[in-house]
Amino acid sequence: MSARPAIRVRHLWHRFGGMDVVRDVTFDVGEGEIFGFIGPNGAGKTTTIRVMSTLLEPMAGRVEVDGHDVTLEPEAVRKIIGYMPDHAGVYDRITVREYLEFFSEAYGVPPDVVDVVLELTDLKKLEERLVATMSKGMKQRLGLARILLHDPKILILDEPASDLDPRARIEIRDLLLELRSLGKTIFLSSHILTELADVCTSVAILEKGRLVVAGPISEIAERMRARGPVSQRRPASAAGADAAPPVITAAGVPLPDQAVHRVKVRVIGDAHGVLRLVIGGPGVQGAQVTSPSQLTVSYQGDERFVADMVRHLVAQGVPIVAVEPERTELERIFLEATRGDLQ
Amino acid sequence: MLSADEAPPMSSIPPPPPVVTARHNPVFVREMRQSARLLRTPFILMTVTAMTAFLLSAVGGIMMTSKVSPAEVGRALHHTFFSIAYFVVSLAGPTVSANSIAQEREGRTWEALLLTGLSPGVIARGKFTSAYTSVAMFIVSLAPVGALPFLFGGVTVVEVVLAFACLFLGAGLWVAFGLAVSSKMENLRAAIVVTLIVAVVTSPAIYGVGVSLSWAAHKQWPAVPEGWPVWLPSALERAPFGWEYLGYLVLGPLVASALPAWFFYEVTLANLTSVTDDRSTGIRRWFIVSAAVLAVGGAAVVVGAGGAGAGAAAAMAATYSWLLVLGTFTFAGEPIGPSRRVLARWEREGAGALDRALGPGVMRATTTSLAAGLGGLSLITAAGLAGAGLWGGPSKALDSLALLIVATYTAGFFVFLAGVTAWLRARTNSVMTPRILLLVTLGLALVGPWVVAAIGGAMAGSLGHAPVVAAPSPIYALVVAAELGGRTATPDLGPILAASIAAAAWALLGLTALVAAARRSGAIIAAYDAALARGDELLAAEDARAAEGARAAEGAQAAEG
Repeated sequence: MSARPAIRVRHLWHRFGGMDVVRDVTFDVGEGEIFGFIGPNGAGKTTTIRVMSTLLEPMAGRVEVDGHDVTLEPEAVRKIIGYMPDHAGVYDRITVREYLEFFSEAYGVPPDVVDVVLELTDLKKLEERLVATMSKGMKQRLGLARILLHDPKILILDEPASDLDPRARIEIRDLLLELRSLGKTIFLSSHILTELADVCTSVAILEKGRLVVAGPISEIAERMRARGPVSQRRPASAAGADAAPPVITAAGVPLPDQAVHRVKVRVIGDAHGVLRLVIGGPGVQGAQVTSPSQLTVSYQGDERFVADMVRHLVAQGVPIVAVEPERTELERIFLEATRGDLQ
Repeated sequence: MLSADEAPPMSSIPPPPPVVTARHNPVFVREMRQSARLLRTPFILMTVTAMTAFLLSAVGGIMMTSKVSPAEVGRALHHTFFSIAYFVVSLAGPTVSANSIAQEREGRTWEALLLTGLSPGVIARGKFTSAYTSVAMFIVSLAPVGALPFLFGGVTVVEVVLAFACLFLGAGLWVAFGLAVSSKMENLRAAIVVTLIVAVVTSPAIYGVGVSLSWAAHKQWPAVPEGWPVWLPSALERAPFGWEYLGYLVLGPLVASALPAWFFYEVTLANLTSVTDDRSTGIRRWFIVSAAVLAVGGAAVVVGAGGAGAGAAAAMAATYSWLLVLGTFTFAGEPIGPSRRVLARWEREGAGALDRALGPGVMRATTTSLAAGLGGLSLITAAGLAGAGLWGGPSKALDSLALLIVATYTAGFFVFLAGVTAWLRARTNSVMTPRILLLVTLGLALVGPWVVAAIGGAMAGSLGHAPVVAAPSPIYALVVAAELGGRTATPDLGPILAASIAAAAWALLGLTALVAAARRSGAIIAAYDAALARGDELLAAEDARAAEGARAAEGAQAAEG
C-alpha cells in the first residue's frame, strides 16, 4: 500500500504584480517526516507556505494537504494544520493560560486540552504570567503551544527559530523532535541550515522561486556523490542505464557539479607531522593545518576515502581523537545545489 | 458497512463546528480581558466625565445669572449634555473600534485568528461588541452628569431615558463605521487617522442635519420645540401617536440607523473574507434590501404627501440616487468573476440561480444593482404619478412632467454610471482605479457642463432659463423640474427636450459600456477557465503516468516473486 503524502505541491506558481515569486514548484512531504524547506530570503518560501496554509490561492498548480485541495477545501485543511508564521505576534495583555484558552475556544476544543498542551510545551510553570513579560523564546514556545491545541496532523512552521538565542533554539529543536515522536508531520522553513541539519529527514531547496532539489537528505547526498565531478562524468546522451538518476527534474535546473569534500581530523600532538603523512595520498586534493592539533583534508570521492585515510593514519601510529566533515551533509547539499545569486 | 481499511481516517471526519454564542464569543471575551488590563482607561473616563461636568456647571452657572427660568436652564443643560455626549461618542466610537482589526494585522496575530476556523462574522461581532462595550462605558460614566438637568426641571425622565437610548443607538453606528474602516487597514495608525478625519468631518454635519430637522418636526408637531438639537426624544414623548408618529419618529430613525449599520457590517465581513472567497453576496443583499426599503418608504411618503406627491416623489428620486451612487462605488470593487473556490462551493452546496446571481462577478453585480435600483426608482415614480393623478391640483400635469424628467434622468445617468463602472473594472486589475476614475467622471459630469455654460456666458439669465449646454449635468434635471413644478402655463419645450436627450444619451453610453464590459469580462473568464482546464489536464496526465508506473513496478515485483 503506497502511503499518501501529507503535503503534495504540484507545479505551483504564484505571482505578485508582474513578478513570479514561485515558479513550477513540485515536491511531496511524507507522513511523519520533519521536512526542511530551505532557501535564501526572498526565494519564495513564505509564499509557498502561505498557499499551503490556505492564506493564498495558487495561481496555477495544485496543493493538497492530507488529500485536501487547499483551493477547494480550505476549511478542511485548516482543521488539520497548525501554522506558525514567521515573526508571529501574540496578544500581550493576557496570561499564558488565557491566551491558550482563547484559542482552544476558537478552535472549538475542550478547555482541558490547554493543560495537556501546557505540559507538553513545558509552559505550565508560566501559565499565570502575562504574555507581554515573556522572552522571545518563550513567546515562540507559546506560539507552538497554540498550534497544538486542535491536535493537527501537520505542523507548518515558518522560520520558527529566527531571532531566538542559542538556548531557545535548542529547546525548540528538542520540542520539534518530541512532536515528531508523537506522529506529527512537521514542515519547517528556514534559511539557517544548522537549525535544520539536526532534525530534518527530508529537504527541499528553493532558489529564486524555483525548486532546486528535493527529497530525503541521505538520498540527495548519495545521488550527488554518484554523479561525480564534471571531468569524470559522461555526457547525458551516453550515460546509459547505469547513469545516476537526476536528483530532481525541477524545471530544467541542472544539478551543479560535485564539489571537493573536506574532513576535519583532530589528533593528540602536532598536526604538522600528520600533514606530511596525508599529503600526496590517493584521492587527497590538499590538506591544511588549522590549529596545532587539527588539520583539514580535502578529497574527492565517497566515505571510503575517509575510512582508508583513518586506517592509514592509525597504522602509522597517529593518535586520532575525531574525524568529522567540515560541513554537515545539508550544508554541502545546499552549497552544491544553489548558485548563490542575489534573490 | 465499511471495513477497517475502507473507513475514512479520523482526521478526515470533520469535528462539529465550534459553538459560538453571543455570550461566549471568544474574541469578545479575550478583548475584554485585554481591555481590563489597560491602565489608562479609568483615567480617560474620569477626565472626560470631569470635563463634561465642569462644562455643564459653567453653562448652568452663566444661565443662572441671566433672567431665565429654571426650566429653561434645565432644558439648556439637557441639550448641552447630550450634544457633548454625542461628540464624545462620535469621536471615541470609531477611534476605539478602528484599533481592533488593524491592530491584529499590524501585530501579526490576524492569521492565527483566521486559521482557527472562526468565521469572519464571529470575529466581526466579537470585535464590535467589545468596542461597543468600551464606548458604552463612556456613556455610563457620563450618566450621572446627564442627571444634572433634573435639578432645574424642563425635561422629563422619559425624555432623558429616550435621549440615552438614542445615544446608545448612535454609538453602535459609529463603532460599526470604525470597524469597517479598521477591517480594510493594515496599519493601526492609518486606521485611526482615517476614521478620525471622517468622524471630525461627518459628525458636525450629521449634528447640523439633526438640528435642521427639528424645524420640520416642529411644523408637524408644534409641541416639539424648534431649533434644539436633541429633539427626537422630546418628539417621541410629546407628539400624538399616529401613522406619522410611527413612520417619521420610529420607523424612520430605525431604518436610518439599521441600513448604514448593516452596510458597515457587510463591508467589515467582506474585508475580513479572503479575496478568493465570496465577498459579494452580503453587500449585494444589503443593496437590494436597502433599495426596496427606501423605495417602499419613499413611495409611502409620496402617497402621504397627497396633492404634493409629484414634487415629493421628485425629491425622493433625487435622494434615492445617493443610494444608487453608493452602490455603484461599492460594486466597482467586484472581482471579474467567481473564483475556483467559490465555484466549487456552489457545486458542493447545490447553489441555485439566485445564490449565483448574488455571488462574485462584476456583471452579476451590475445586473442586480441595475434591476434593484431601477425597480425602486420606478416604484417611487409610479407613486408620485398616481398621487398627482388622484389628488393633484391644477398644476398636476407639469408636476408629473417634472417628476418624469427627474426620474428618467436619474435612471439614464445610473445606467451610465453602472455601465462605465463595469467597463472600467473589466479593463483594470486594481479595484481602486475604477473607483478613482468613477469619482472623476461623476465630478466632471456634475460640474463640468455648468462650468462650460458659465465660461460661455450663458448663465446670464435666471436658473429658470437653464442653458441647454448644461443639460449633460444631472443637476440640470433638478433645475428644469424645479422650474416646471407648481406651474400651469405652457412650458418651454427646449430645456425639457435637452434634459430628455441628455438622459437618453447617458443611458445609451452606459449600455454601450455595459456590452463592452460583458464581452471583456466574458473573455477573461473564458481564458481563466481554459488555463484551469489545461492545468487539470496536465495534472491528470501526470497522475495517469504515475499510476501506470506504479502498476508496472508492482507487476515486475510480482514477476520476480
